[in-house]
Amino acid sequence: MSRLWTILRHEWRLMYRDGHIVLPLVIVAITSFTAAHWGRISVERQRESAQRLAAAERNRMLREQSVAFRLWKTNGPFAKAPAYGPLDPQYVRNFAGFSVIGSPTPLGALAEASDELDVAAYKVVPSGSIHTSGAAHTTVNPLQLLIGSFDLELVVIVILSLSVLGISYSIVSAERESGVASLLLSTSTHPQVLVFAKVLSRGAVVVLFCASVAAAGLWASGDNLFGVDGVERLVVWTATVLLYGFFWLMAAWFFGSIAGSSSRIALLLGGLWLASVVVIPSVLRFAAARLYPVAPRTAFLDAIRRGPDKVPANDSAKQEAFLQRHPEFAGLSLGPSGTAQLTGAARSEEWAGVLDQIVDKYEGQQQRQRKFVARWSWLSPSLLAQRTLRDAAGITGREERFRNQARTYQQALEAFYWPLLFGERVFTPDLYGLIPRFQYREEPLREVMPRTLLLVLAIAAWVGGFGFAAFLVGLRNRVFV
Amino acid sequence: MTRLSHIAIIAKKEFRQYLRDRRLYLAGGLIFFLFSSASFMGRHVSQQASATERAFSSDERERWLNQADGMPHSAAHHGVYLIRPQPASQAMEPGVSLWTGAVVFLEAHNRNLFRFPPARDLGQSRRLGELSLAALLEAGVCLLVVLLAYDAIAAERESGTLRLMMAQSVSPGSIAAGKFMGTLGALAVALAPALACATAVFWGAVPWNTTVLLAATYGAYLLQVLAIVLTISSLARTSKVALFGGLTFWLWNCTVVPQAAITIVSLQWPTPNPLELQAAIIEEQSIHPTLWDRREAINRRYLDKYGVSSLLDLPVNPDGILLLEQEAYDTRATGRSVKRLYDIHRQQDRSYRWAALAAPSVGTQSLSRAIAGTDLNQFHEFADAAEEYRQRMVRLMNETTAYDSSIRTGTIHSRAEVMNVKAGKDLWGRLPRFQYLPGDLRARLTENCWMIAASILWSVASGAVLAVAVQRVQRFAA
Repeated sequence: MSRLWTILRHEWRLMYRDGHIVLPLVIVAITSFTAAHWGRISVERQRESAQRLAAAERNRMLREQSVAFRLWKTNGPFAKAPAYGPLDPQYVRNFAGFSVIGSPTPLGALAEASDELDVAAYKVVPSGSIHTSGAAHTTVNPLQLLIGSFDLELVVIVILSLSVLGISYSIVSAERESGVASLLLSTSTHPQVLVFAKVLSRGAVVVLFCASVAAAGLWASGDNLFGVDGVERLVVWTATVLLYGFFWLMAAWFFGSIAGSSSRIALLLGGLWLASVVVIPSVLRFAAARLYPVAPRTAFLDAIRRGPDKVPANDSAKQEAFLQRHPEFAGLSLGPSGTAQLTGAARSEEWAGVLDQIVDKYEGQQQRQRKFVARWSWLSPSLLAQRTLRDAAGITGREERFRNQARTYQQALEAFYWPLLFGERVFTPDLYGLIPRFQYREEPLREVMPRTLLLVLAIAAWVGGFGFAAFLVGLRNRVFV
Repeated sequence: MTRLSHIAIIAKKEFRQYLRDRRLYLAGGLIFFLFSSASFMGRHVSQQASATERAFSSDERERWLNQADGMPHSAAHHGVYLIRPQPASQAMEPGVSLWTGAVVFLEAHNRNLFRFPPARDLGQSRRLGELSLAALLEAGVCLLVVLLAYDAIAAERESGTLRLMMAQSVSPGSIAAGKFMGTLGALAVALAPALACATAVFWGAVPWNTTVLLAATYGAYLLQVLAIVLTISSLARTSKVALFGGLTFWLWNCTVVPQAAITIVSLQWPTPNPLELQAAIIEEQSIHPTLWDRREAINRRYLDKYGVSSLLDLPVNPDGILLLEQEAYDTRATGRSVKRLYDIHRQQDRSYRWAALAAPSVGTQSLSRAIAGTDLNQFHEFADAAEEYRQRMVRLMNETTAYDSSIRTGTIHSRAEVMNVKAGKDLWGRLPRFQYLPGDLRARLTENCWMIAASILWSVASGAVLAVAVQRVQRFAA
């Protein structure tokens, strides 16, 4: 034990003297805190812009409401809406609605660039499809999307892993090449003790690297840390960073134990890094795209354009079906405008159903692709780490949840507008304040945890696998032969 | 022995050593696998995209021409979808084309943004799994050079052979030149099968001048990277430090500088996010009176002007005038917002290019995208052409509504104070087919003359730095 401790201290001094601790640590720390700072700014801007849009829409609604008040005061009260204007529910629906805005991701600053392609807001109207109503898509510079922003996810996946490889690739081979190993074999010290000490010393440096990344993550989380599940999410995130760092250390130990010269080990580790970060994710995505081909978006648009033709043109049958689905309107006596509105709603609902089938077909394939990649992601620890980091940050599956919640909100809008539209009622000024509002609900951590823990276990299995294999090779005393 | 023969001997020895080293074949195999995968995938995606573009554009035109009779403004609302044609060279260098939307919806009132970036449908991730020929040449080959050549000079120093060589009056410059030539030869061996495979896949599909220019750009880049790696190797005390330096250079060149530069410029000139964009449009629209107030004012103005009491007696359709006015407001509001957005993108792109002075990959990437016609400028040119077409379409529909009495039905709409109008195929046919000619290669190169200058500068600077660095080898040799 004392030998181990002596070697450990010696190793640490050597690494410190050669700048193998300070230089990479400074690189990891600077890049982590820079990425964290930028992540914070980005999330703060998201929050501010959501507030700005909500304020703009509220002002727009108040303007229409003030015209409604003026009309009501000068010419009212009205039994029916006086033409298409601010007292007409159809007009209000079109001109004074609110966007459905998703709130910023709980710990979005930890992987702020991951959801840039997602829809930021929907313009939901009753009696329509969410797929054809307006949606606020990304405005990020395509060049930035291509290159990728500098965020903490990048620091972990690329910079941390390469830093760990940089300090540990010659963990065994350096001793072999310098002749220390041959010398050691002629003494009573078991070579494994030396290797252990070296692995432990590098392990301590990896912990330092991960601690600086975790500190940056803590700082990036800001006030969100004290939100729902904030601390727990950060703990999972930090554990993933640590495991991912140790994965590369164990890989370096293993390859150092089985391969020859430092240069060969460096090449093998470079190959492993490329395979994990580029090749396997790419091949998996290509295979998924071939196995579950998605029709091009243009085909999807084409289907949307041609879709209404698939809805049979029998309006009375549509009305009947609609009333069966919504018996609350069955007893309503309808005027000509109410009948037209009901027919329109029936048509839209049926059309939305047809459209959902088209979209489901399209998105079903995408989901199968995602599932396929997820099923095989254990092949690449980088892919596993990326998925876990995104899960912990609250990004995974967010777009789908947002869309589902927007659909639920649409039902609330329908429940509010349909009685007014079918009953040909006036949209009185006081109704403006009752227009339903949307509030995004985060996925609770207890639902995230099972899948995240599985991913964490998979990374741990890689770490354990490489570590155990390297240990076995060392036990056979063949490391230095 | 002459200096040249020294160089030749060292180069030959270095080349032979590489040929004996299994690393070369391992790296060559890996590169071949990656290049062939990227080439086949790129070709497949590109072919699929152009077939889809042709079919969709023709279908969309047919749909526009054969739409049912109705209000011209409704036709403008149903709008037209335009799909962005992709150059054949996209298969080699996808550039930003996978990340810009592929389709834009042209409709009344709104200048919409492009939607459906193909990267999303391809399940592409920016960080993991970017596999294109250009990306491999930029990052993969750079890593290969680092891993093969990091110890080219450092190992000689460690083993003591450097001192021995100098004792035999071999100059440091000859050592560096020999190492450079030998490593280059080994790289050629490693890359030859991969490049042959890529050439076979793209033969006839990509214009030859594009291919030659791309090859020249990446050839220069390879030489720059090799010179820099040898410089690091000559300055490093040990192979380990050389590897660490090489990897740090790779990180700096391929990840840190490009990503930090684009992040810094996006913080300096922040892109309005979709919510800000939408808020800005609503705020600008709110400057004008509400639709209700404007409709009343216009109807009153025209009834007073022509001294009639019914809208049906007017020689013009006030609703068409309102639509023209509304379109002018909306085009200003949405057009200004989108123009501002694209101006910011352009500004970011211009500023980002300054990073070419910090890392050779930035200039090479920019030049490569420009040569392939997949850079941001090409996208903006198409977006502006599409907006021009949209305005033309909406103006035609609204002016017909306002001034063409032949389409009036002679009735008033039951729920609004507007004349009913109905147009048909004659009007739809008056809108010409959208046509777009992308800028030619010479123009694209002229736009990127600074990137060409940056590439030349890096070639000269990396060579000069290597020449200076090897003079210091003597000092460390002992």
